[in-house]
Amino acid sequence: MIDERYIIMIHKHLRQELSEADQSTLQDWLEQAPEHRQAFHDLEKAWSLSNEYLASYTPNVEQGLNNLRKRIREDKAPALKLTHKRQSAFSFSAKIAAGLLFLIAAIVVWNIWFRPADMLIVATGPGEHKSIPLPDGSTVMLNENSQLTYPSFFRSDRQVVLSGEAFFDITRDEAHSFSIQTSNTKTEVLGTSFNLRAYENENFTEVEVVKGLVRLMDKLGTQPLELEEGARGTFRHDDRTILSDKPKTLNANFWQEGRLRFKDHQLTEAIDEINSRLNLHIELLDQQLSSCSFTIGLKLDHPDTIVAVIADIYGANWAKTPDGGYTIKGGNCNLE
Amino acid sequence: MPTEHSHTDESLLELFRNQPEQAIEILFREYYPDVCRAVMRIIPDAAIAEDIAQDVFFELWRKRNVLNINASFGAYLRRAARNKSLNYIRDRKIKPEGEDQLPHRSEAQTDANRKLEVQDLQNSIDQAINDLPERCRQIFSLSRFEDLSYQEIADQLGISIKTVENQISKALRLLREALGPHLSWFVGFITFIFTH
Repeated sequence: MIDERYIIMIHKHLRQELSEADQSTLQDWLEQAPEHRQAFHDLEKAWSLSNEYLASYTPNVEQGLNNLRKRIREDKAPALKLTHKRQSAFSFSAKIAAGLLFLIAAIVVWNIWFRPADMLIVATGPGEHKSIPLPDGSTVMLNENSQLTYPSFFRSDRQVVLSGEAFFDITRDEAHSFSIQTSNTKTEVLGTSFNLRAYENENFTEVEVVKGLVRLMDKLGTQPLELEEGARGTFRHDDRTILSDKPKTLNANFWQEGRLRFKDHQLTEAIDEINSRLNLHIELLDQQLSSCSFTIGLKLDHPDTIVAVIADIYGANWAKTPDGGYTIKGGNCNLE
Repeated sequence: MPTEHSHTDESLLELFRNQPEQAIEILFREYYPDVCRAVMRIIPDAAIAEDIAQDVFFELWRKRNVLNINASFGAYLRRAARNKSLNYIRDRKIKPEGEDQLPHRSEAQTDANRKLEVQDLQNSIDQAINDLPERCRQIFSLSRFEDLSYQEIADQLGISIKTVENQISKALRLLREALGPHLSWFVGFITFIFTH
């Protein structure tokens, strides 16, 4: 049984009126036990679902309006506190025209200002990429097996939800920050481009900043970390920590660029990265190549071609192993 | 709820001054469903809710010459709806627990080609909140839908803040139990994000 005190704190958090001191008490409590986090999740979802209470109920407007008209017709009592009737300078038909104009204006402005935005969902399947133009001029390139949810128009702050991986190119708007919610993190920007990876089946969420400034935080927004151009931020789901580093080259959006870039990498570290990004098994058999310098924009191609390109740089031989891996043998760092 | 208002309300206000009957018809068509829903979240009986909602508009008519609307019509109507509902609760002690009826549904919703699971989720949500004990549901609704603080709820209902806290946490606990199977839904997550 969850202590009422914490339920109330969660409630206040959901209403965005939790004090800073309580915010950290709640954070500590959440870190204490998985049941606490589960309760937090459940209550948060129950709270959000409850917003739909009676959403499908619609009264009979015409019937209600008829009742009201009848009451107004039968209302013989003078209107409360009559004001002086001004002699209007406009003719009756001018008044009607003005009335109609107001009506149209009212409807138009209603549509522009108060109509709630529709939620749009775009999803990709295996091997599929989609480019999504957002209503503010930003573009999102969605990687495979991913889903983006966004409103048909932005009213105040720009907010979207991502599951999976995408490259964001966000139009600058100082007045309206852009934020991306994932299951575990929130990412806030003003105007930048960056890659965000948040697959549900992986235990980390990763941001690589190509341009501008990005703020990565947990979903409560309690541990913001600013990431500059060229930086990479990783949020580990298990211990909820955010780390940042500056890789030699940014490769997270290779799926979109169609290239893996390396600059003054050691060949072994480059091969580690190629293996993990492309899910290959390339092995250097001879140690002599391992610390060779590797600088190239490696075009994504058939694995055979990729391995051949690498081997060719050092005049090495390559072969395919029975289990689908590759080996590179011989060669030297400075091929004349 | 929109907080900004613009010449929408100005032009409507103008119309309201010159042709109040016409303006009230526009307002009625626009806001009546919202006003009904707002009342029904506090008093879960469609017939009573619709009566109260019509009262709200009738009063707007009665006050057509004295009214000084300084927020938006929407905000004014929502506030009037809340006050009328609270008065109703205070005046007539509302029906004892357990007698709550499910809201009447219009034909359009029941036969529509909406997906079964959406309907199912909607029913579960309605059911879960309707099933809360009367006082508990009222207090929850005032916090959730009227956006009142603990202090405001306590003042409105003449109870202590401690009681408000008890009832809110009870409501959340019960909703968590009742909505259990739906809580893993991604849908819920999305709704959360965009309602904040």
